[in-house]
Amino acid sequence: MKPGTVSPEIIEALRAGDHKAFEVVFLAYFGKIRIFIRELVRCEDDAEELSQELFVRLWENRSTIDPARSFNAYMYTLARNSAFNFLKHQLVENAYAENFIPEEITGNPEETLFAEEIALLIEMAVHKMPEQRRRIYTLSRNEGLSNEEIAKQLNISKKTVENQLSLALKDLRKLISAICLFFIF
Amino acid sequence: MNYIEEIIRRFFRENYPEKIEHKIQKWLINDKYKEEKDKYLSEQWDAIDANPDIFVYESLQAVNKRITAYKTVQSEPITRYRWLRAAVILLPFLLLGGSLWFSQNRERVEKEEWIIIEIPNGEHRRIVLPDGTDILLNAGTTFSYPTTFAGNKRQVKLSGEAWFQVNKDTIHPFIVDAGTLSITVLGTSFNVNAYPGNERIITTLVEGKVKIETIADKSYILQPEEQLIYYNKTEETTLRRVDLTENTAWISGYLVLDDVSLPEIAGDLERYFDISVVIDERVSIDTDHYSAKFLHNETPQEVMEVLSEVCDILYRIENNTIYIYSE
Repeated sequence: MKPGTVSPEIIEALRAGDHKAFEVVFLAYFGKIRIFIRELVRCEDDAEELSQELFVRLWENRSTIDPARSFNAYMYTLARNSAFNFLKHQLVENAYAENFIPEEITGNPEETLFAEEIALLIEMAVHKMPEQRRRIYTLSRNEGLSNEEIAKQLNISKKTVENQLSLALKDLRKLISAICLFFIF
Repeated sequence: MNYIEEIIRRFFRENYPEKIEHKIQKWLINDKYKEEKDKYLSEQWDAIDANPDIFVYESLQAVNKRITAYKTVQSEPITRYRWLRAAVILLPFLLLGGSLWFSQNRERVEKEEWIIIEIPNGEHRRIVLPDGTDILLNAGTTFSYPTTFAGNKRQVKLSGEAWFQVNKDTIHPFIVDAGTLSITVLGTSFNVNAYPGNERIITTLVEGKVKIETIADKSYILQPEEQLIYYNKTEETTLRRVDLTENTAWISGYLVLDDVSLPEIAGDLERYFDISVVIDERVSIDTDHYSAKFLHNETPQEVMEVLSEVCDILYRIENNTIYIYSE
């Protein structure tokens, strides 16, 4: 059977409490659910635990499955909610607050449209830059050093700094449209 | 270009430092742009194509146990009866449903014949098992395997270091018994360093997926380029990402000392050079660990020159024996 697909007859049998049907659903969906949750929570053990819990609850609440709705969409919703709830608890517990971008972004709405998304995307892209380029970019943009200061600190020529910076900006420009760059840089 | 799509796509495809991952996670669970986020998350969901593997059957077993436990608490007679029936339905299903993994779960009782290979110090040997699995055994290693793989698994025993290229067979998992650890795979390549005198067992995964179980019943799943270090005495573990070329360099005949203590270095040198190493008891064996790679067929003399500098020790070589001492 193709992963992630089960027939309506199987769903009906599951709703009626047929354990064999439950196993068919399990084999079709468990791997997919575990991978999806793992990608969201970024921990193999937590993903396994959450996936198992999800199926225990699926069995307990089998009679509430709505046969009129897409079962695949239902499983997606269960997996997403399971991961999101876990992350909410984890984020509260660990109080990561200081590392985060402020929730309320001031300024006029047009200017800040997608500002958080753009900032996040830039941070992700900067992380994937080659080592030297990333260091130069960070020193320049985050720490506000001049090109001369960076050249001196890293013991490289000012020309290299300029080239690397221009490549870094080119990388980011590819990512973010020109209009938005106007606000960020 | 859609920023939301791009963040989600990249997050699912790549790893980021914890700090960035936490930011992304917090952004994801925030209700802002909820519908867009949902749209692209469900696209990622649709793209996941996971066939049931050995690990899924193990999880199923665990979930069935949890469901049964839950049911017994409610213990009404009717429920019990229904559960008996469920168990009866389950058995033929498992037999028919292609899940041979369970159906042959009983151990074979008849005696199997085992072949034991001992690799002398200073040598390597490559062997191919009956199932086509390719193994390179490092110096000073003892390896044993049955003449035929009967039953539902392919079990072998390792004391020493070996690199495995396991032939894929999803029905018969390949299990390496390395003393205090057991490593389960379906088809993959990986390296195990489990010399008896060493304080730890190091498993490095090249490709595929392996499951490692400790004697205390803890288990770990390794992804490619990950390494699990298991400390025999304390049962502690460290999981880290590694450079594969460094960790499998011994295959190319290099002498690699990877974060090892002085007594472990002595063991490595004995096996590599087929030489004896004697450490004077006055040499302080502290907790320091050293790493070094020798890529040019260095002689014992040349290797010791370097090590005496790094480890701050004195040495002399006589009668095929290295004597290590301090001032």
